[in-house]
Amino acid sequence: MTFDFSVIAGNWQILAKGFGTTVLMCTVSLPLGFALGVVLALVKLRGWRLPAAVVSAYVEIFRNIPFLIQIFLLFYALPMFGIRLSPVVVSIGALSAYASAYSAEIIRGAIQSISYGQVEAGYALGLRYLTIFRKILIPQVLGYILPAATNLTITLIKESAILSAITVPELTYMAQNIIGRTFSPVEIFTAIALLYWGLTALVAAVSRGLEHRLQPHLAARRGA
Amino acid sequence: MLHFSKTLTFLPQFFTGAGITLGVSALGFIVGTVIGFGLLACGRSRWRVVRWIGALYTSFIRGTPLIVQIFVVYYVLPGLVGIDLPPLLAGVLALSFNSAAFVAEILRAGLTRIPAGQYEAAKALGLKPVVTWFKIIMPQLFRAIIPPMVNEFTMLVKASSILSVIAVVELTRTAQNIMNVTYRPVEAFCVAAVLYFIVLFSCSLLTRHLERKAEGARA
Repeated sequence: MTFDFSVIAGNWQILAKGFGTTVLMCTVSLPLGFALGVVLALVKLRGWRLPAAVVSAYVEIFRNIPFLIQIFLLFYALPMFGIRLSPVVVSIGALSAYASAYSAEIIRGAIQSISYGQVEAGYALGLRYLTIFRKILIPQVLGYILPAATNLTITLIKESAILSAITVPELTYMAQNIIGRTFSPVEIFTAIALLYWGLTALVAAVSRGLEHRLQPHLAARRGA
Repeated sequence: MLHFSKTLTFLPQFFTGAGITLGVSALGFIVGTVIGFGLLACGRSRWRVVRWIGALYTSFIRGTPLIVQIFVVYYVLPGLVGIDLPPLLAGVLALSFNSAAFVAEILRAGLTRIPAGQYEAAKALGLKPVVTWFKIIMPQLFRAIIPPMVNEFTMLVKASSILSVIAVVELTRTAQNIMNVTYRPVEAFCVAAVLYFIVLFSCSLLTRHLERKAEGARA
């Protein structure tokens, strides 16, 4: 069993293209999903019975059906309604919907974790609302959201590999294509595993750095 | 638009597929838990190299997609070891390797909740380390890890749908096979989605219930 680097060297452009598509799809669908998640969380927290129930159903459906089934349904159902979109666009929609369900729960938890007494205490100390918002609420919400959002980002990157099943030209699909031509699964799968590993490690490292900047007092206490 | 009559005649096959999904997930969970204990032991080893290997393994599993791990077990491992794995065995192995990393984290987190005073008290009472571990630490550890372990099983059931890519005939693959007969993809995946939802939603309700109960016991 030899490890033939030339297979990777000869196909690096294809791998780079797939890697680019993976990164692109995730960077587009993460903010989209997050924005939708904020709306969903606010609707649920507002407490109107029917909209809150609809949001709950939406969240549970996306969290309790495997992503592969979700994308198959989307992939086959859209043409039934005469909607023809490129696989990448369908994927971004699917990833966004998936991310929105998870981020809705994250944001709801973050907002609920702050007691209103803190706002009142801020007023009692003579702070203006903007100062309270900026100096008291935002740091705490972000401190709660950041680790969870990092996990979600990493999950999203990993789930995006499943999109290869509907022929989206992302990293895993490109890898399968190369293997189909070169019959070298060992080299190519090693290469893409390292690429995914590097990407998720980078996300985790950036998040740790942000956490230290957002909450230097906590970082100091942890001795980091 | 949707015509379920043809697809629903295959309902027994769907149920068989769901059974296989639960079966491979359960097997993966059990083997994964065994390997997870091994990883936990690696993490607490006195040798730095062993700790380092354990950490590297966990980081790799958590940092790469399951579908890539499945391909590695199915296509790469046979080349390295020299034996061909049937899809079902490769699938169960991939799920086991995957869940082991997450189970090890659950165990590690569970152990941190047991105060050091317990070990000291056991030592003061003259108990041997083996007795301490099995009679004092393990019972408490098990109570602490039940909710996250149920959650891990839920994640495994959800993840097992990816085994369809190496032709393990679990629920997702069954739906694909039936779609190829009926030419009704949306209906087939709808039935699979409903079955998944019933299993996974029950599991997550159970997790929530157990978490609330654990919270009450601590308060």
